[in-house]
Amino acid sequence: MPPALPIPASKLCESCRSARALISRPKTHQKLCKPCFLSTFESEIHATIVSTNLFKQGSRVAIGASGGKDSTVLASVLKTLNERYDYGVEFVLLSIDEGIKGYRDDSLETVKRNAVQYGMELVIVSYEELYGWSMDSVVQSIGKKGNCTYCGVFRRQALDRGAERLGIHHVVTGHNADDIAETVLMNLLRGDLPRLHRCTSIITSSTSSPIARSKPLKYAYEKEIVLYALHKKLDYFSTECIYSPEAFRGSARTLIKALERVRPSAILDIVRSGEAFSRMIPSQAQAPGAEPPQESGAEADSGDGDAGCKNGGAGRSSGGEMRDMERALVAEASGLETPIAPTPCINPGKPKQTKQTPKKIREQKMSNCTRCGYLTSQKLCKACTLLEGLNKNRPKTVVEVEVGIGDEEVSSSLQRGMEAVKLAEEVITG
Amino acid sequence: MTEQNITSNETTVSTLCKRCSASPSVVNLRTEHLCSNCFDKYIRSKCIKRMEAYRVRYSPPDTDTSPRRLLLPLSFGISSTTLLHLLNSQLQNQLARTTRTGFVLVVVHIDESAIDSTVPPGEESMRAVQERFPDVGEYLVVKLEGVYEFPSAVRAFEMGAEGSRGGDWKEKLKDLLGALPSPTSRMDVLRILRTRLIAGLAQKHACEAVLWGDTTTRLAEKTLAETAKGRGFSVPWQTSDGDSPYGIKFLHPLRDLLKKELAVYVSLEAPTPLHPLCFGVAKGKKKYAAVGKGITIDELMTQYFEGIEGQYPSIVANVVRTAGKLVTEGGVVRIGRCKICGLPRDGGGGELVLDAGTKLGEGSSGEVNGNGSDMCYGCARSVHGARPYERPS
Repeated sequence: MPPALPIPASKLCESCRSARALISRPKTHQKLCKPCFLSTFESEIHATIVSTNLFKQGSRVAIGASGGKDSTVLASVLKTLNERYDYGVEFVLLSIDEGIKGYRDDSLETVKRNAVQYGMELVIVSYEELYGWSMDSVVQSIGKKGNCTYCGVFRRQALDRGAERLGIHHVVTGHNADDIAETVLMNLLRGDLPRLHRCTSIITSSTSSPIARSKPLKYAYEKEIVLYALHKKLDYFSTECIYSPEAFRGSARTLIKALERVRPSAILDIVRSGEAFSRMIPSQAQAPGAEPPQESGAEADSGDGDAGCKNGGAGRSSGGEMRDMERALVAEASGLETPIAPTPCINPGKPKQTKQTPKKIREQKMSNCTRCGYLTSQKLCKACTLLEGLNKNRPKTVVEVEVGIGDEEVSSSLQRGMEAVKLAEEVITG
Repeated sequence: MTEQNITSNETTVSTLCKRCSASPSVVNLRTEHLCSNCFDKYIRSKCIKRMEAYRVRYSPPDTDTSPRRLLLPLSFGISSTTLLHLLNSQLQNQLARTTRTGFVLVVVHIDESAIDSTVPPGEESMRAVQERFPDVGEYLVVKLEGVYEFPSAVRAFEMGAEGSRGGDWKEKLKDLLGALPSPTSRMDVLRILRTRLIAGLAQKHACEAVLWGDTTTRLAEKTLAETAKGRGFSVPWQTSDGDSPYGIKFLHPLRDLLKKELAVYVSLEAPTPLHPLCFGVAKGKKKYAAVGKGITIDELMTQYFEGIEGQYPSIVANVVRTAGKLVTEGGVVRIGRCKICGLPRDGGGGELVLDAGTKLGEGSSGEVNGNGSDMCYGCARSVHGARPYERPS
C-alpha cells in the first residue's frame, strides 16, 4: 500500500485513525494518539520478551531498580504485561544503595513508593554493608576521577549478591536501545571484540556470575521511555549522579544523539549491526581473556552495559578515556615497530569465507575469591582488589557499620544484616 | 588543548627532520618531525607495500608478460589523486629498472552532473590529469547514469514500477533518487550505484582489481557509517582487501595513511604539486560546515573521524583493525544476496520490525513496500518510505 501523501490538515492517529494524534513516535515518527502509543510500546516489549523466551512460568525475577525512568518504566511495564499475558512470574525490586547523599537516598525513596504502588517486594543492598565503603567515602579518598570504575565493579557484584540472597537467578535491567547502541559504538571504537560479541545479547550469563541478566527494553528508545513515563504519570526520580560531571557528554553518547537527529532509526540500526557483529567475531576472539583490554583490569566491567551506570563515566567513553586509549595504542605500536623499516600497523583481514577453525580458547579457570567467596578467575575478585587499595589509604579508626533494617520482613532483613556485618568485618580485616 | 599529532610546522620553531637529521622539518607526523623528502618517502612506502603483488615479475621467456590491468576510480579528491600520483611514480620506477611494468591502470572518473550540477565537467579535469600522468594507461569518463548499461546492477532499483526497456537513463536516475525519502537514503543508494558501476566497468575492461583511494580515516568512517545504517554485516566486505561480492578484487593501497596526512601531502609544493589537480577540497569544507537537517549519516561520520584523527590517530587505525578481524557471515550461512547492494544478506534477525504498523511477530524485516524479503536490512532501511515513482513509458 503506498503511503498516503502528506496532508497538512490530517491530524488522525495512524493506528486507529479515529482519535487525534498527539505523539510523534521518536522511533518511527509515526503519529499516534496516547492510548495507541502506550499499547504499541507495551506490545513491542511483549514481543521482545516472547520471541526470546525471557521468562519461565513460576520463576522469580529481580528488577534492578534505581528509581530512574528506565527501571521505573521497566517495573511498570512488566507488571502490566505480567497481568495481561500471564507470564506467571513473581517480580521483586532489587536496589543498590551506592551511598551518595543527595542523590541515591532520594531516588531510593522513589523506589520504596514504587514497591508499594506495584505491590512488589523490595530489597536494598548497600555498598556500605557489603564493602564498608560508600561512594561518598570512596570519592573522599580517591577524588572524582576514576570513581565510576569502583562504582561499576561494586555494583555488578552487589547485584549478584542481592539476587543470591533472594534465591533469584535472573535480574532484569532497564538498559534501552540507546544504551546498547552506545555500547556497540564504544566497543568498535575500542576494538574490544569480546564485548562486541556479547553486548547486544538480550540475556547474558557469564562464567564469572551465576546470575543471568537481561534487558527487556533492548529495542525501546530512550525518548519513548520518557514519553511512556510521562503519559502514564509514573513516579520516577530524574537527577543524574552527582559524581559524573561528564554525564551525557561522552563521545559515543554525543555521536548517538547526533545520529538519532539525522535518522531516528539509526539507534535501532546500530543495535541490528551489533547483533550481526556478534555472529561475525571469530571464536578465538570471543572469550574475555582472549583479547586483553587496552585499559587496566580494574575497568574490565565497563563496556558490557550490564552493570554500567547510565549516568556516564564507567559505561561511557569520554575524552579522557580516548586519550588514555590513544596512549596505550601508541605504546603498543611503538613496541612493535622497528625504526629502520616501519611495519604497517594495520593488518587487514580478508573476508573469511572458510569454516571457522576449532576453538583455541585459553580457558579461564573459575574459582572463588579467597577473601569473599565471589566467583573469579584470579585469587582476589575485582571488588576485593579495589577494596585492598582503598583500605591501604584508609585512616585506622574504628569502623561503625550501620546496618539499615528493611522496612518490611524485619526478621529476614535482620538476618541478612547480620550476615552483612560478618562479611564486612571479614573484608575489612582481611 | 591537546596538541594535534599532525600539522604543518610553518608557524613553529624549525626543528630537524628526525629521520635524516639534515633538513628542517616541515611536518609533525604522529610524533615524528619529518622534512618534505622523508615525508614523501614515508607516504610512498606505505602505498608500495600494499602493491607488492603488482611488482614486475621475473618470468620465463615464453610466458605471457602482458601487464595486469587495474581500475582506479578518480574523483579528483585528495585520496584518489594522490593514489594516481603514487602509482604513476611506481610505474616510472618499474620502467626505469626493468623496461616493463607489473600493471597498467584504467583511470575512470564518474561524472555525476546528472544529479549534481555544481560539479565541474569531468572531461576538462580529466584532461589536466592526463597531461600530468600521460603514461599510466587508459583514461575514461563515464556518466553515472551509465549504470543502466549493467542490467543486473539496476534491475533491483525498479521499485514498484514496471521496468520498461529503453527510456532516458538520466531521467530514470533522477526519478530513482527523487523517490527516496531522505538525504541519508539518497547518499546511501548513490554510493551503491557508484560502486556497482565501477565494478561493472572493471569487468568490462578486463581488470582484475579496483584500487580505491580509501585512507585509514575513510575506512573507519565507513565502518561506523555502515554500522549506523544497519549494515554491520557488510563491514568486512567494505573495508578489507581481497574479493568483493561483485566478482572483482577490491584493494585499498592507501589504507595505512590518515586523511590528514594526505591533506598535508598534497599541500606541499615539493616534490611535485598535486593541489591544482584536486577539486572539492574547499567544497568539502563548506559542505560539512553546518550540522543541519540536510546532513547525512555518512557526512556525520566523516565529521566525527576528521575530528578524532587529529588527536587520536591510533584509535582511528584501531577501528579499521577491529573491522578487519570480523568474519563475514557468508562463509557460514549462504542466504542469498541483497538485490540492491549485492552483498550476501545478513541472515535472520527477524526480531526487528521496520514498520511499527506491522503486526508484531508476523511481519518479517524484509517486507517493505511489497518488495519481498530479498533486501538486506540496511537497504530495506534506506528505501523504507520510498514512494513508487511513475515514469512515462
